[in-house]
Amino acid sequence: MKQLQMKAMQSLPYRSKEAINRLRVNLSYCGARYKRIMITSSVPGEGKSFTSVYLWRAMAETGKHVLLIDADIRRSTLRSQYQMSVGREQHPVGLVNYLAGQVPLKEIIYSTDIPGADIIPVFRNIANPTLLLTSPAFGTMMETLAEQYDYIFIDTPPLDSVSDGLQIAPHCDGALLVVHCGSTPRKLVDSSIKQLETINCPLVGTVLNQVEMRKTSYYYRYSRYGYYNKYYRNEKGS
Amino acid sequence: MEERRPRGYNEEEEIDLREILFLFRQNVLRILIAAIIGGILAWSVSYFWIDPTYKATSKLYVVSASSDSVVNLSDLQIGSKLALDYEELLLTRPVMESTIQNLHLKDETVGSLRSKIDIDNPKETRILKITVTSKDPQYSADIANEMAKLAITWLPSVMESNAPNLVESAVPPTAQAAPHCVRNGVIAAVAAAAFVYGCYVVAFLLDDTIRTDEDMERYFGVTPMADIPLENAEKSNANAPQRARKGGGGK
Repeated sequence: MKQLQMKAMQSLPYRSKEAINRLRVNLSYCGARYKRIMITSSVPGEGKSFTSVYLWRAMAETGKHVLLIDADIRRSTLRSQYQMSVGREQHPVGLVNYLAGQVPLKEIIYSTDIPGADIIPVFRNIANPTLLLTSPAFGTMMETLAEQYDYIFIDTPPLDSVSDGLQIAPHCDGALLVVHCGSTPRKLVDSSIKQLETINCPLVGTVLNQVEMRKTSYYYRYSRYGYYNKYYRNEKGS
Repeated sequence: MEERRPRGYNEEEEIDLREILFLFRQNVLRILIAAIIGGILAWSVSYFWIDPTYKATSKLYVVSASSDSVVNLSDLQIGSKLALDYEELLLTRPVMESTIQNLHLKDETVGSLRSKIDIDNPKETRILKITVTSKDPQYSADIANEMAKLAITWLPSVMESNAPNLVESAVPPTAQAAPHCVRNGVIAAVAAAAFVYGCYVVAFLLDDTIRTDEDMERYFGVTPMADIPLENAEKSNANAPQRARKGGGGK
């Protein structure tokens, strides 16, 4: 298997690390039935790539065999954001090459320096990937990979922006919706949830991103973070 | 975990009063600062910018004893009517011009003088109060006294009635009538605080985004699996998060 390096992965501060762990635990309680999880949002910039990557890593660190598929073919940011490189290869192959029939599936799965964590990246952005996503190759890929991995996380484009997410959803067991706190109007979130319902993709859960912990509301002092925060606030994240 | 179906999205909003009151506590510092700035600003403008004015008042009593030396009811009635006439007559041009001439008032026209004078006849009385407002206390007093003098000397000949009696001559006031610097400051401070608080309340009510777990629960029936805190703002997004507009669009 080819090796891919992600140079910009970092260790998270304590509270973020805790949040990702909480997400990982909650997700694992959903059961073995929910294996292929698409991670999406309503609009761009809500933090689904961040959530995908660190959830994937956290899951691998518990010993699971996990795969991250970058399915944001139109505008993938994972490669630049996490500084992915494949040794000396000039034109590395990714998801697009496989879906276009240029390479077999095993050529686009890369292992990383995280044990147990593999990735299918996107190295070429395409303006209209609808044909690729609706091709049988995508379905075949998902079926094949489901047998090999404990979890497959698919980082998909936002639901409100393009229809790619809805084309990927039928091949997934469930969806995780990332919501940007204080930024995304409720109506858009509602629209996203309804879209998932329409195509019968179960909403496995939601993630609230970029929450201002201190200032949120009157009810803050009763929330779990408020209570425990003062005990753990000074602990440095490992 | 069984599949959760979110509750229907509820269009009706309940306004939680505790949240709105909490807004005050949350922003009390900014509201206080706004109040202080508003108060100081208003006080300064009142103190340094607006010229103080002074009011001086002279008082006359209008009653004519008709037959004998004791006033009777009809005298009082006449007096009341006369007082009303005096109110009007005291502001006529001859009185104004005489005042200007007698006191050698430069820079004063009939109109400008008239605007400084207020004649008041309190209801059910025969008292005439001549109040003069100007930027100098002595000036106000002089004009008020001069007008009282004219009321006693000149007007009765025009009205063919007895002269009113001087009750009280005007003295130059020691305190300014306006502006009330401290009072203006206090009013401005309260208004500024209310305005700033009002802005926060309006922003809160117009906020149609999800802010907390409780919001997610309230509107969608699902509690988030995790809250990722703000500290990772720079790392979690490739682009700066933009305020999402309805109707999506873009890439």
